[in-house]
Amino acid sequence: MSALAVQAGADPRRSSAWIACPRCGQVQALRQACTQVCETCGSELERRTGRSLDAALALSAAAFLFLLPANLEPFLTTSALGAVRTSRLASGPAELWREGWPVLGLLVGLTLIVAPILRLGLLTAVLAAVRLRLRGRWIGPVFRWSNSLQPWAMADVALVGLWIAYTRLSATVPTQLGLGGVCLVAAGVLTLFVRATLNPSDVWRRIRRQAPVDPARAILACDACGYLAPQRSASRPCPRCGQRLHARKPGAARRAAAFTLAGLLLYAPANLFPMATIPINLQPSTYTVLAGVRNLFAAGLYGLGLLVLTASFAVPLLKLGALGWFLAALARGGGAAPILKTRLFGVVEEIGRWSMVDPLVIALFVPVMQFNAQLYGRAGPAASAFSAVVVMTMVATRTFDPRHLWDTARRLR
Amino acid sequence: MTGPDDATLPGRRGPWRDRWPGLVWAAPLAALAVVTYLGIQALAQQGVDVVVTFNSAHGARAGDTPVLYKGVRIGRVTKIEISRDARHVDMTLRLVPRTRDALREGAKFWVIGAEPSLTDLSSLEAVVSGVSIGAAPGTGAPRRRFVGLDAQPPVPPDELGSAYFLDGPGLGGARVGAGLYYRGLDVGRVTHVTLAEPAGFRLTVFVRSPFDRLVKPDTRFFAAQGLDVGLTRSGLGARLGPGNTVLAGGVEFETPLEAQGEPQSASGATFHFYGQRDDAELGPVGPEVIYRARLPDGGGSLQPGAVVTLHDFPIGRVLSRELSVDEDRGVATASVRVAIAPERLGLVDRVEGGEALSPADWRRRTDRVLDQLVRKGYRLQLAQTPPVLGPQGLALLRMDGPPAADRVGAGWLATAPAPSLSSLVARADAVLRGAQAVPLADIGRNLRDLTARLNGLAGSPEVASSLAHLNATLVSLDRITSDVAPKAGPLAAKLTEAAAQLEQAAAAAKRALGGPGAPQDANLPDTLRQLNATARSLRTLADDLDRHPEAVIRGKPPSP
Repeated sequence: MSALAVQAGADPRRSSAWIACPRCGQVQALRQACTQVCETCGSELERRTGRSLDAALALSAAAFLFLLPANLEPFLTTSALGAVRTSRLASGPAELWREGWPVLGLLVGLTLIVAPILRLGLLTAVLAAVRLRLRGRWIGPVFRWSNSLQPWAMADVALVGLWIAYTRLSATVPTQLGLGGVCLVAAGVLTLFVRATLNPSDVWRRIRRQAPVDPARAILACDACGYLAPQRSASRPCPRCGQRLHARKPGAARRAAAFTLAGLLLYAPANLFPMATIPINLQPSTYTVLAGVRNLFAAGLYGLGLLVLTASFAVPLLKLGALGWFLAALARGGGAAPILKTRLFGVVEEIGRWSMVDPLVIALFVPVMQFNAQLYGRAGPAASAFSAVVVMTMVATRTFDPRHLWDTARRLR
Repeated sequence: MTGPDDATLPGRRGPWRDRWPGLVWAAPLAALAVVTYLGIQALAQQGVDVVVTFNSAHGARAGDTPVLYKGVRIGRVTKIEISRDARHVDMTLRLVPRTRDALREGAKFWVIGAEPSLTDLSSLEAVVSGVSIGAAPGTGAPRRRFVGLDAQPPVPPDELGSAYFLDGPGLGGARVGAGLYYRGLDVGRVTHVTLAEPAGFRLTVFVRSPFDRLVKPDTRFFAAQGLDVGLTRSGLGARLGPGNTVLAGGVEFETPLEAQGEPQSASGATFHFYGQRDDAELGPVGPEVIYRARLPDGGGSLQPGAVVTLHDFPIGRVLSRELSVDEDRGVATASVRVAIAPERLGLVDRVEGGEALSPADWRRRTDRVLDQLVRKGYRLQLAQTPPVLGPQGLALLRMDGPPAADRVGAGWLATAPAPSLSSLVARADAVLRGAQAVPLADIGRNLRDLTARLNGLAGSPEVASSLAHLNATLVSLDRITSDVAPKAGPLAAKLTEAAAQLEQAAAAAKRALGGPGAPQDANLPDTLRQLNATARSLRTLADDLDRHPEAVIRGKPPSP
């Protein structure tokens, strides 16, 4: 197994000041820069501008606090013909479950309720511990869990979903954003700020200092925390975060291929079947992903239409296409354009979760649109398939190891 | 234990160190304040939980169905589950803290809109918005468990007013929740309907204060007629009942003029419930004396309940009709049993020796009165008011010719002999001669032509002139019928009806065609169909008269 590529001429004296690029595997010296980018692939390794442990802790605690009333207080309230429907955040998953879409219900419950609470709760605990200079073996693993929950905690995605759901609801019936909704908006916005102020590399360093390593020899980098360890530590837990150490993610290509294929298969029903039934002009109307976009355009909501078109149609297509390309390149041994591929991977990794907007819209919309045989909202078969596509591509992206692309490229060079 | 090596922590040095001042801690503090405030508020407004047992949830939804008191939302249903005995439904209601004092023995809860009913139009709202729970406070000992009513109490539990009982043979369309009307004003509700011995109903009605002052001992309650269509002396007439009695039925009451000064009846008083206004206006029937009478011509389509009249005043009713064949002579005789109400004949319940008249006394006195009438030549015979079209009944009519030696005895009333057919035909001929002068066939053809033209012209500017033409036809038809009227009453009545129908059709046509901005396509086909139908019926009438002149008197012959 090949070790990490080591930058030629690295200074072995500053043995602790090394960093391995998670995208291409290049080990390079840690520099005192506002933003350090990988010398090989151009990925951002660490951004220090505007980052602050205090700010991240403060905002994370605030977001976590806001999540409590967001889950307990009334979320949305609609009224039509004298009837009032009030939802809570949990009403969406519950309603979807009851209507016979358990997978969708569970997924929405996970991304909207469980994951944000866990992610922010654990993050706040870790940051507080680091800030108070506490020591404990738990901090590393907990921070790792918190980080791996980050893509699944979709309070920020729910912001966009809430905006779309609110726009659609208020086009049909008088709609009021409840206290819970306001708190979710606050939590969502704060979540974005937490991401903006948090420097995970800094936190990792504070949790446990990098032990001296010799970059001239083969070393491993932890997938979760970037800790550098000698080759002999392979298959042992990372001393900092507890993640098992590997040179490359195990079975990366095969797993990613399986999930991508599953996503590709589900992409067909996701686009062919109706996404949901919602009342348009007081008529129950069933729409597919593209028809929903057409409806938004017809209603003059161009910005919203473009957003849904991007998030629900273009992004999944892009993700599937990109992953397909990477996997095909690995299978054929093609090493062309590694930088472009790495950039594309970064984009796919970052935007993948935003495709959950449409299922979240349905989950927020349905519980408050239950009036009578004309005025109701219901999830369609495509909603489950669609969210499954999103999950499959997200998992595929996470199991995929872009360093393989570089291995191929380096072999060919 | 060593702290992190500052040299390896770029974030601890340099110009970005103080980018985020301590002000950022305002965010969690604000969040904490908000959360604390919301928590305290939630605790303060915790509310009171009560459990109400219903027979059925009726579509109530946990977390959604509101609890209303006097139209104010005082809580909501938080939990619905099957009761322990698995036969009822336990609903947990969370009510606002202010209701704490009213949650006592006697508090009532009911489902609003469980069965959408036309008697309570507000319940129809529930079809759209789902059911809600109604509540009314109690006064007894504090409680947290109640038994709910399945239907809304017809009268709000704390409404002021009086309840009365109405006994009658039938309901006449009244049902629980139906309105109670005084001269068209909604003043109360029917709250209960129960079976009463021997074969009638007892209605409980509630009259809201202050209208219960209108109920006097002599007040008469009767079933409200939703839609009253009938032939009156002035032609075809229709009257719409008060409120939504057309849909839901109802009860009306009226106090005779001479009884207006009486004091209010106490709550709980019992009244007779009359089937219709006419009966109520005549007042109580009083005792009845049964008579029998032979019907020489079989009695036509006489129905039990048909009215017996004297000088057009009802004096009794037909009880039953029976047929008997004489074993020896082979003669079939139809007879009727009639009940004559002596009080309607002006006999008053004279108290002799402080006691009410016994049935035997009543029979003796009624016998005497009727005997006098028979001697004067009055005989019972079939009658129809209005003629030809009205319901069949019996009338005591004075016959021409010498009074026969008939007597009233042994409960038999004398009847007139059957009229001979020849005299009937002679009369029919006379009528027909008049009728034939009427160009009925021409009128029918005219109307048909007209509708054909209307069909062609629909929507064109010439429609207006066509309508003028139609009006002219109607005017002439009216004139003709008024000419014929003295000669042939029944025919005139029927033609009047036809003319009225035509007039309606014309009015509708005018609305549909002539009105400014009227939707031309919506009503027109219907109107034209009406006109056509009217024309056809006029023509049929004319044809019928042509072929069966005697039909005017004897009714339509059976189809061959």
